[in-house]
Amino acid sequence: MGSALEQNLRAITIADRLRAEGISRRGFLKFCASTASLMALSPAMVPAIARALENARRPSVIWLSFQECTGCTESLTRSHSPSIENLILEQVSLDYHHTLQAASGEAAELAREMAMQENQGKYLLVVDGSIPVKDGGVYSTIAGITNVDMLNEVAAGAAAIIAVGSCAAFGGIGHARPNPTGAMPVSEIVTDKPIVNVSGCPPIPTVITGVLAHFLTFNKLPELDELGRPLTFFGQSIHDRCYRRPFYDKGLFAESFDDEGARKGWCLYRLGCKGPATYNACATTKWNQGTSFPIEAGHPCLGCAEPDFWDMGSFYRALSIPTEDTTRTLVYGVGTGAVLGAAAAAMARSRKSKAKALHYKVSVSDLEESS
Amino acid sequence: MTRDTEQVRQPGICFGRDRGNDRPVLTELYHALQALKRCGKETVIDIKSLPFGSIDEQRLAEFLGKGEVEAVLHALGESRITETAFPGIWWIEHRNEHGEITAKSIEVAYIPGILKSQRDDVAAACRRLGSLVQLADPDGEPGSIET
Repeated sequence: MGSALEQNLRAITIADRLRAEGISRRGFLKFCASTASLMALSPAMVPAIARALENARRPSVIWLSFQECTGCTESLTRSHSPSIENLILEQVSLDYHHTLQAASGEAAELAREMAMQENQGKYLLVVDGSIPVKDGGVYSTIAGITNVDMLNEVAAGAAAIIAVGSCAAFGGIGHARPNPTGAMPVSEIVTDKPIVNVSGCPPIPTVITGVLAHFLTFNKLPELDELGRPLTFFGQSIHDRCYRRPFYDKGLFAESFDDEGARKGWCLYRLGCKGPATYNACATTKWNQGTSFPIEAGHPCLGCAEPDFWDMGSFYRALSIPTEDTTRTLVYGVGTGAVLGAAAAAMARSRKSKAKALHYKVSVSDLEESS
Repeated sequence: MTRDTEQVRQPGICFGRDRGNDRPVLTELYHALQALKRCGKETVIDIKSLPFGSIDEQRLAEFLGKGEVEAVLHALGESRITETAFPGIWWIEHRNEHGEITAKSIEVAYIPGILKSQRDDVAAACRRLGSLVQLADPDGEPGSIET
């Protein structure tokens, strides 16, 4: 932690490290191209990334896991860690993560306190899980400290906070009705620090490392949307980036999970797909080493990257059935895909609010009926 | 770098009418190629960021075909840089040590930047070769060797 070796490691830039490992400048440029792809930045940014990485130092990271299922950490560590992500992760000093670190008990808490002291005002705080605040926050404690107290203590000295997963970003399942522990997202407790919300249940591992890479590369947080999510990954809806979108535009929908439309890969909108109202990078970044994403596997998007998605009614009830023939609409508006998408999103959001109020419950027979 | 005219494949896959997220990329490539011809402007398209279904990318690759040049770069894993059947359009795939794709792009350029010898590497090579030359001929004129 405080050793001379650790200090020296912090002083080494990524470019120094790659050079020391015998990686050529050409290899470094390849690293930069992969980093640009990881951060969902344009390949035109590669020279800027190369310049920034020449000076990037090793930041200290404290990772706090609160009221969570460890799915977010699993998402990151079970991603078969391609070396580009490993290089990014190795380039940060992960000083505290109670699931991954070898130390336990007092030694673990001492590691956290030392990392905070030595990097006061400069360390990056990563949080997964929601924070229970009801009854003094007694529903989740670590080393006898309530989650809310630990968050406030660690956040005070952080340069920035990354809220990983829908629980830390928006409250997630802990916050779902009836919210027995008074679960809250990070942003409702810490209000004086820059916070990036990397939502998703779980979040896409590439997006987590992409945000870390952005901080590491440019020493600042990426541009955010109105919900505090990085625009490069959350700037467009699943619907707008979905490969099935041309079927939506043509008015071709699967009506059940085993009809002709489903077999032909038509749009899953009427089977409850929340793609039009959900902003995330699944459709392009994909999962399992870029193999596919839920819609590609034939399942509608659940909308897990949006606030309160657990309370939005059935996953299989269409939030917005088009009220007019989209084929006819298309005749009048060829090339207006974005407009259609925006309209669909607006309709979906409106239905979403109604569904939220009704709080649909779904049974097995409902599912059988709808399929 | 390999050069094998027998491997040259001509584009010939037709695009279906029902689908085609790959189709707009062709238009973009056409304009990028025009810009390269007109004023030397280079373009890079990140394929991984495109909303492709499982066969869109394959169909685009088959349409672009394979040209005369294929280069393999060994640095942090293997990278394959292939000129398509349309000279000036290069298909580039970067892989890590485990063979997993870390970046995939189409570059419209006379020669992709990553194929050129880099200034830092040339400087390092100069120092290394200078040392070797000096070792091989210690009685040679020292002033002519920069290490």
